[in-house]
Amino acid sequence: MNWNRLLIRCFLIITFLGVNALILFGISSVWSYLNTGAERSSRLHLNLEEVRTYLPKVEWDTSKVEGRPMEPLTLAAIERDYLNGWYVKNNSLLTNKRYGLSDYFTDSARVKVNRILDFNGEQQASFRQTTLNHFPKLDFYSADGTQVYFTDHNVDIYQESLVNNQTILESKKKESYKVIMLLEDGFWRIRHFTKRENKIEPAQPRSKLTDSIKSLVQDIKGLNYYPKDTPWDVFGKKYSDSIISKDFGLIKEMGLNTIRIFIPYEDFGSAFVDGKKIDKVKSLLDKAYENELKVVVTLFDFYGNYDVFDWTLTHRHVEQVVLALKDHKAILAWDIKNEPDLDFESRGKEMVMAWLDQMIDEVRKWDGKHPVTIGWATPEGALNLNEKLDFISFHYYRELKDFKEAYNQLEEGVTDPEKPIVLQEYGLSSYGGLWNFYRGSEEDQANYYKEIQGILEEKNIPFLFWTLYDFSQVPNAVVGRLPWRKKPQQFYGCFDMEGKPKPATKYLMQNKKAE
Amino acid sequence: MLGRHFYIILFFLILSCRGEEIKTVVPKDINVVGHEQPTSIVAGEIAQFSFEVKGKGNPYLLLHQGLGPMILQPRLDNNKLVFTLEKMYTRQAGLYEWELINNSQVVLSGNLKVLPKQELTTKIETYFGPRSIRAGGDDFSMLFMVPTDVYDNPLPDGTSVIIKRQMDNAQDSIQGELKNGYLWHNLFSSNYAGRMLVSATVNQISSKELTSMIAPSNSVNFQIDYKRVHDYADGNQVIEFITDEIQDRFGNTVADGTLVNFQVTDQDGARLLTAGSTLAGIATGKLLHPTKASNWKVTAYVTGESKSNETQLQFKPAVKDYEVSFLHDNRLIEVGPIHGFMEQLVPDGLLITLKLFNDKGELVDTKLTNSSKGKASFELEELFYENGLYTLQIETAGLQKEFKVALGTNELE
Repeated sequence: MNWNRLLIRCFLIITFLGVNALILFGISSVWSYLNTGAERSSRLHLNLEEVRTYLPKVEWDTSKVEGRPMEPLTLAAIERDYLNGWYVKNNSLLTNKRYGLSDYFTDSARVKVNRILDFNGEQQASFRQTTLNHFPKLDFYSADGTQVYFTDHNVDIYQESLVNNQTILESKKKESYKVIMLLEDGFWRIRHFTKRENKIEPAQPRSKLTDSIKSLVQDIKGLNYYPKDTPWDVFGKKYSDSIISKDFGLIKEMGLNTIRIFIPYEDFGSAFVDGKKIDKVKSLLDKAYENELKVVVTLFDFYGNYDVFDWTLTHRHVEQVVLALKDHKAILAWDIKNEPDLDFESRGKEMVMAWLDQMIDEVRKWDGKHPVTIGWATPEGALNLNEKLDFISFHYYRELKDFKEAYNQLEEGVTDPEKPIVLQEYGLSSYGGLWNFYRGSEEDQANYYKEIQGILEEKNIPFLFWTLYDFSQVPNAVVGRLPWRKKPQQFYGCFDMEGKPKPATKYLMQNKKAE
Repeated sequence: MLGRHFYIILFFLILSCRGEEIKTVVPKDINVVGHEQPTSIVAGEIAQFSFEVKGKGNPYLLLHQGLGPMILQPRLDNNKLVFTLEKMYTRQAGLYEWELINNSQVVLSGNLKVLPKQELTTKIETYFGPRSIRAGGDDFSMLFMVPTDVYDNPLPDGTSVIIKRQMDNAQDSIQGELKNGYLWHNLFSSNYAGRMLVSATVNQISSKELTSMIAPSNSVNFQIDYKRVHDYADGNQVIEFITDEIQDRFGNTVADGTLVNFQVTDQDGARLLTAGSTLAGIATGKLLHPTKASNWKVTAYVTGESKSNETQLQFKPAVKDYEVSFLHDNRLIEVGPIHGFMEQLVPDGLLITLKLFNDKGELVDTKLTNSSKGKASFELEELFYENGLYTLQIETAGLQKEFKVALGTNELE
């Protein structure tokens, strides 16, 4: 009896509290809902900052414009809206939705686009496409400044055609269009857009690597370089050319002739490259040149998107970086991407390969002189695109006993036997501690180098080992935050954190051996 | 050095975790034995692509046209693969590129030209601007036109266009040809202000009427005159400056509302400004008469374009003399009655100035007042002005009088 009363009492009190809590929660959600929304200042659209998300290369020809001379500002506005038009159309072709079309196509043109989108929607067809280059020739600009006609020549289009989200064709094509655009309420909108025959200009044959460059590549004896205290952040705030100079002196003293450095994509400003960072790279290259070191520049470090909609942005990045550095005498080669085969799983092999394939062309467009390679993570992966690259680079962190076989297989697989094959990363951590059950020591590392340097010398394989120093810290972005991954990463150097040589160093010294 | 051992291990772990191998479809190749498709059609016609193929596959027809690509699915007809592009989808003229796709490969490709349906020209899109130009033959309005067929395709190059124009009570026509689907033409003004009406015709289809206003050209120098009730400087009447009909060099009256600035310089070099806008070419500007005898020089300007002659005029003094009396220990000063040019009391509001100097000749105060019913008074209160000797200067209508006064006594020198 008493128990029942107690239970009922408890039940009532808890229900009462619960109902109150619910009511309070309800009132507070209504209250917070009513307090969300746009800032008052946004009513005037004063604080809208335009973010350019589509940046194919556009080269206008305004040498013969009828009607009225073109002003640079208007041309920039036309280009912006024309490219935005392409961007929203590309988006629409992928989703078969009409988002944003009304800003960049007039009513009559939109009817035609919608017809195509509706048809493709019915057929479950979609397209993932981007344009890479535009060469519009402006023919007419009206006296009142509200109509233009231009022919967009040799538009490079990369296109994946999909049915039911399955790729049925991947293609690159060049197309030409006749375009009439009108200025309507502040937007240049496409009014007529007609495909025309493309005058195909013969592609210039790619010149082969000169023997001098080939012998430089074949002779690579070097290492992957990061400073001791700022690994993975060479060009950050702590950049110091005196440290670089000292390290390079040491590398030179070891008898090495090449280093490999990394340009992080986002850190360098993505599509709008930070000139200050480039200056630091140049300063590093100067120091390398002073110490007779050649430099392999690895682009797109910490980049992992590869999406077609991101292509033009990465192209602008590479254009700025390559153009800024290509004339430096210390440059040996461009490494497009570090270990892209590790992204095959997460991003899809087709997508990554298409990006790489196009990126090789982009780099060559801006610099035809220096060889291009890709730092594949495994010898098996290094067969990808081997026919297109100027030399092959692979990384090897597996068991040494399998090395020869893996190398031989790679050598056989490469279509052009003349192409140099570089072992671009290898090494062993001397870490022996809690996180790897005290396996590993500086002696193990020395033995590893002793063995592999023997093989490399025997087979005459150019090499870049990992790395000069042990690092006091490794950023989480490199291998994650798990200590059993991070810890060994710190001890790959042939010099320890105090800068004293480890036993392995004697097998890596090149000049001493010669004596 | 991103991945390293752990990535590689992880990679294999992921691989080994997968329950099922991805099914790889055995590639099926097809060979095209014969094919049939149009190479040139007119917009809005049906287009059929048929292929006789051997082998089995999963073919599609990929079609590239101006505003975007399309994918067609086949229909089997007598062992032939048939792709049909319905009428609705050939409305867009231009080049169509088709590709027969199987197994991620292009098996066959070709072109199809879709021509605009010329005989059904329905619309001429015209753009005319600027819509307001100036007479004289240097300025023009540009006509830009894109005639289209029933499906909104620009017509082919070489299609002839007739532009008709009505101007200065006459009509003329200009013949032209389309290039790149459009035609543009500059239509220049004549020497006469008015309107230019334009229309265009293609294949018996006409555009709407378009208008451009031809405004007069820059004005040329002009004459001014003035009107006033009398020539006395009474500070009360208004003088009116009037231009003659301002015209451009072709004799067109300037547009209504043209601003004319009248600038007056008096005998002391002071400047007065007034302005008026034209109506039927004539502008008027108004100014109040001065309060003292003056000598004015007047010029009018249309800024940046033209100016008038300089005209001169005099104002005679309206007041000959006035009385001043001192009351209440010289602390109340009464001015007036002031009489005008015909002995009338001067109009209310005539400015009267009193300047007060102390015995050292320093200016102590300046007092202003206006006449009312021909009179005005100043009161010099004891709290403000100590007893003593002062010099008073009174001025009105250009007449100045000076008194030496001892405030606080009845004396007057």
